[in-house]
Amino acid sequence: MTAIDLRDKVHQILRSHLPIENAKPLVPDARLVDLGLDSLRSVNLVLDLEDTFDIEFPDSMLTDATFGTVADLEQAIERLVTASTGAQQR
Amino acid sequence: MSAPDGAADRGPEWALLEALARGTGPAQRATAAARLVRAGLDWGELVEHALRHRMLPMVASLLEEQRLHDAVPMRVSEHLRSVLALNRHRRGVWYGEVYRVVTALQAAGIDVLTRKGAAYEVDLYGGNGSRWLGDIDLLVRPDQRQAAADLMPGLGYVCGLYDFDEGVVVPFDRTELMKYRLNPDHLPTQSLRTDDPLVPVLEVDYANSLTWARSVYQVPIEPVFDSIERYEVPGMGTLTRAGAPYRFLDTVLHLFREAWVEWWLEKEQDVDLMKFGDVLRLWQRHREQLRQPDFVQALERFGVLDPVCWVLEHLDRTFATTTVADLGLTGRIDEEFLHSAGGDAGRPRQWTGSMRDRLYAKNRRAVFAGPATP
Repeated sequence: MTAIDLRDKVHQILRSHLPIENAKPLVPDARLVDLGLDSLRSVNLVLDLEDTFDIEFPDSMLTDATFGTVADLEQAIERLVTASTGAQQR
Repeated sequence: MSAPDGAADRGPEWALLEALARGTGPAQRATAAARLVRAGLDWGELVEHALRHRMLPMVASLLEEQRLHDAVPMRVSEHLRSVLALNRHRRGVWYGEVYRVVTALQAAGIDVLTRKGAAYEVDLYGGNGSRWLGDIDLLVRPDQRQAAADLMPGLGYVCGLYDFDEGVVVPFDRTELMKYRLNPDHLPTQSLRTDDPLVPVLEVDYANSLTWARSVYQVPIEPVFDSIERYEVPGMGTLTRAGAPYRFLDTVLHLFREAWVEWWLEKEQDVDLMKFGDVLRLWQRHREQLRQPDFVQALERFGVLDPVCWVLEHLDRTFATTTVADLGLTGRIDEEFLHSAGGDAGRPRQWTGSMRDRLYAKNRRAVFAGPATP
């Protein structure tokens, strides 16, 4: 999966967990809380991302820093996917 | 103990509960409560409201204190005597556990303050079993929360909730633990299964904030701990709590959290009369200290004047008190904010009617009628 494919997939999943009426663009520095992502939605988002990318969020990443902005979330997923792929190849 | 204006419109049962929540001296209770009880009550209605507001032990205590049981239908009277006896028994077990946990935390070098019922039941309710005691609420510093959590298994606690049907504590699953991770204002509930059939479980609720994660309202924790004071629970030992101004602020902000964040409605933990009673009694007890300029100055510095005014304005309108004016905060917030709530995904909500309407409503959803504002 290319970086662009991964980002598009993250956006698709993220969008499905935002309030339905929220049509704001998912620009990198958009704050997830401003997009309507509260903590309950965050939990469901994490579970969905874990299923889709076959990854697991460690406790240390379940923080505000991971769910700060769209770019923060993209980078977190990228790191987890890279680590997961590397582990599978080993 | 006259009923506040408007309380009587909802019947003598409601007037009695509001009067009990206000907290008055035994002499006033003797005349007014006896008048209300002896005039005849719909006991089914009273018990239902008292249950919703966790005030059944308070009603039972009043009947005992004022020797009013002869005016109560026999089966109701028997039940209320049992409720009071059970709550007194629970109180003994509960304080014993508060003391055991607090002592263990302190021995491990963890600073801890009791909150809510544990911090003022003795002072404000006479320690007579009239106030319902739920979770054991404790405050720890954010940088010591993990140490507090790590200590609990050694005391027999399991991080989870008690299943009353199965008689076991069911550990939280990963999804539930994630919610706490993402809301780092509280630790996950710690539950202790006891051998006491009347009190099969005790739960400890650790907070490390006076508000909630990502709230715009935040109170720094250091001054709260700096205000620490020791107090005696007769027959139990010495415990530690925040000084009166922070105890009051914590209680007010707790009420605000449960009344303003709509999510608590789903959890059936919307605001109740007992919580307003706690705020009112704290105010009555510490009024002079709270009216000192440094208290309002601190609220201003912390940026929490609005939620405090939200609570106190509703308190004044319901109980005919003058707390907002006494603090020099008249006109600080408008009607729109007074009827606001925080809905799903941070969307603002509005609710209708007065706080008395809301407290009285058996279906709280009805006061939140209408769609959320996108």
